[in-house]
Amino acid sequence: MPTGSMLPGLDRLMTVCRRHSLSMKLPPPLASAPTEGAILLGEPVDPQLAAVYQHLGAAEFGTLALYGPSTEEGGLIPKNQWLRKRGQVQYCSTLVFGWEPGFAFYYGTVPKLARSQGLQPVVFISAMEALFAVPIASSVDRFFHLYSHYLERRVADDSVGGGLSYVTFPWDMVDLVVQDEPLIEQVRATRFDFLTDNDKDALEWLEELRASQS
Amino acid sequence: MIPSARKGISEQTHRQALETARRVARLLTVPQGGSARLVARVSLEDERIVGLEPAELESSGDGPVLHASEQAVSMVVGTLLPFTRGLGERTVVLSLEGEHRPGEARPRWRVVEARTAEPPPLPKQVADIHQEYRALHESILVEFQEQSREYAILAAGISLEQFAYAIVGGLLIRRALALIELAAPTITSVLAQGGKGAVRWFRNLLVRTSPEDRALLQQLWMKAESQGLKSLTEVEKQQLRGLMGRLESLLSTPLDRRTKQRLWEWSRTEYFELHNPQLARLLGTEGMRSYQVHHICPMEYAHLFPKLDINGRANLAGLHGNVHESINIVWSSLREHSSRLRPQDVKRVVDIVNRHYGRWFDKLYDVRDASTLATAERAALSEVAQLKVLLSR
Repeated sequence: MPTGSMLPGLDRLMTVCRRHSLSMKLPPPLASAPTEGAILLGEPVDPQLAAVYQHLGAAEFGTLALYGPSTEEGGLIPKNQWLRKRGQVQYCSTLVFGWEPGFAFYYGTVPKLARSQGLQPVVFISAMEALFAVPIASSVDRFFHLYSHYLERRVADDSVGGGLSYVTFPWDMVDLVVQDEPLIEQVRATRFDFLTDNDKDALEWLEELRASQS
Repeated sequence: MIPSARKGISEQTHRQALETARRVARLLTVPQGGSARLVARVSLEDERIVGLEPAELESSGDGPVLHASEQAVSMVVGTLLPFTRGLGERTVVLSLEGEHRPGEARPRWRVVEARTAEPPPLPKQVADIHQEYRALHESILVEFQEQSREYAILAAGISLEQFAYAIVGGLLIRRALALIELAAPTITSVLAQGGKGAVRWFRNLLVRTSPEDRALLQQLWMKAESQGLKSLTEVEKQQLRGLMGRLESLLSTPLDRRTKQRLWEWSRTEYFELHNPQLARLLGTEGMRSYQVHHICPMEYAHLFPKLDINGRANLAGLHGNVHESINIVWSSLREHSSRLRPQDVKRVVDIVNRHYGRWFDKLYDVRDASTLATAERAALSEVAQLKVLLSR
């Protein structure tokens, strides 16, 4: 389901999945899909995320799955409510729209860091052990673009054997993340620091991004 | 002898066979009109002849000594060469008998027996890995002889998993752990236990090395595999020990974020494919999406337990995401003390977590258990709080 040129990152992600025969699910949009400007859980939904949901439901691209924008079990709303139940800032400040099935790795937009045109940055939330969130893209479509490159790098890496890969997301994508100027600008302005919980891994990532050449 | 699929016999092997045959032939003397018998033991490693043990000649007769003809050299070469098409270290026993007949210029020699000596039993630590190791060793030799003699190119075709097999299997089968013992005592003691467990433990350590160190280790080991350990120069042996020393120091260093991410991913694949495929079948593809793999000793504290395979079966439990989330709340409650935790403190928390959550390890979780899960969390947090009081003192 190509989106024309509106979401080039999402189009690229679909192309990569097709080219490498990675599993992909493209269910039709749900009637409950939010429109641009809609309020979800008290905050405006990101305009690009709203555009994605106008095209697709609970889609999947290789190892990435989106929560369908519904109030049904496992849908976007109940999942975010469940994640927010303990009041942790990483969930309460974000709208988690994606995850990696089988892991406690989530992807969320950050409404309070929306820039002009309302575009919200995307953070990676790690909850496999210590909980922290770090910035990875200046917009939802930029995130899809980044993820498409990650999937390509994984496919190209057969150095471990047994179907395992060295390439990690987002850590091995730093070369592309640092090219995302609007994101790096916000990182330098310490806008994401409140999500790190002073976790060593998160702080190191922010340092790595800040150290990049502008 | 383990037969080899290698084609032809290399020039180097021919040369070694000829040199060995000449040395044997120099021992082949018969008293004029008498007879003699010689048992020679030739050591081989893969296709290489690496030595000739001193042999004793038994002879009868008291005439002047007559030496063997050049024909005897060809005979020994022809006997030895088929034995070079094998793998590993072994000894070939050649029994030769000579006789001098009156009127003839030279004695006649013949081979009465040529056999591979009964090999010493394989170390028990390689029982479940030697087949994989042998197959890999052979493929490296074939590649080395028929494709490329550059170690870097050889190494490029070998996965990390195979590489771990090559090093662990190679060191154990050659009984060569002493080579690294001083530089890397912990690694030596874990590898000495052998088996697939040691291979995987070592692979999970190798994943933490720098690309430069990994490349160097691969080059050194490809040489050892294709040319024998004895082919390593003193400088190369020193490099190998230095590398192992650096690996040893990684064992007590906290895991970095890339390593954790890789190990999380690998642990899930290996847990459901190798360790607990029954649970995978029970859950089905859809059910597995909600199940995560929990590290019983968390990655955060792996460096306090250098001998533990953080991704080994014993440290993994498959459980529902809700249970995992709850366990992480318990561990996170220790966050402010994490840098001060000693191995015994971590063990106490592991024990608390296992006691309260163990009922959901490696099993199906019923979402109706939510209240039981909440009770378990409260109880575990309360026990950990007591430990925190002790740690604060």
